[in-house]
Amino acid sequence: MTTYRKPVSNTWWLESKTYFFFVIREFTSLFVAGYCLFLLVFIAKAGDSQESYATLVLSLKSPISIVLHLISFTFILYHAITWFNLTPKIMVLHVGEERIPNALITGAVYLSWGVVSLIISWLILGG
Amino acid sequence: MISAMVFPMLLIITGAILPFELAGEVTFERIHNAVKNPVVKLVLFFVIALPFFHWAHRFRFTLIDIGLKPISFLVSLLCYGGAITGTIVAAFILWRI
Repeated sequence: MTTYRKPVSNTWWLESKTYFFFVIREFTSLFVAGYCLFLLVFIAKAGDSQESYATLVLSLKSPISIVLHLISFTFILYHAITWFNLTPKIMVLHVGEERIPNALITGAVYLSWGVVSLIISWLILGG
Repeated sequence: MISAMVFPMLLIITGAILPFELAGEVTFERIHNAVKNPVVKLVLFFVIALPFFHWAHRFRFTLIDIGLKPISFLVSLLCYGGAITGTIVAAFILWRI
């Protein structure tokens, strides 16, 4: 027995704003992977020699690097914010019978984001 | 989760603070000694390897959903294969330092 499935057009995601932003959000993962590759290059150079590191820092000053960083930052920030905002929807916590308000969970997530960011900048850049 | 928490700050550092020397000069010795530290290496491994799989999974399903269903096996192979390769390369680079 074959079941009939309604064919879905390849442009379904252009038909509604919600679908469009969903697909954009999924595509932000491309920038995540791209930045992972960049991090690998960065680590390899920083672990190599003073010359490699100096060349790397010089290449960070190039317009291409800055533009790529800006684009990646925009997309990754979009991914991060939408992810943090949906945390209370996937993590429903209760204290006794009372449900912990969404704002409190979101607030806690943003707070930890801030703390993690501070720790990273302190570790890399120093006090 | 890891990419959302960690990457925005890292992008600010490598995209603005290091090139424009906003926090003074960050010396080679500082970064070099940091990436040589075994604990830092372990953290870096997870910070790089896990987001590769985050990418592989999302990218695979998005490509299939927007019309690459006929070649879904190939898409999956390339995505997860890419993530596995990336993980191995990351382990190799961190190991060699």
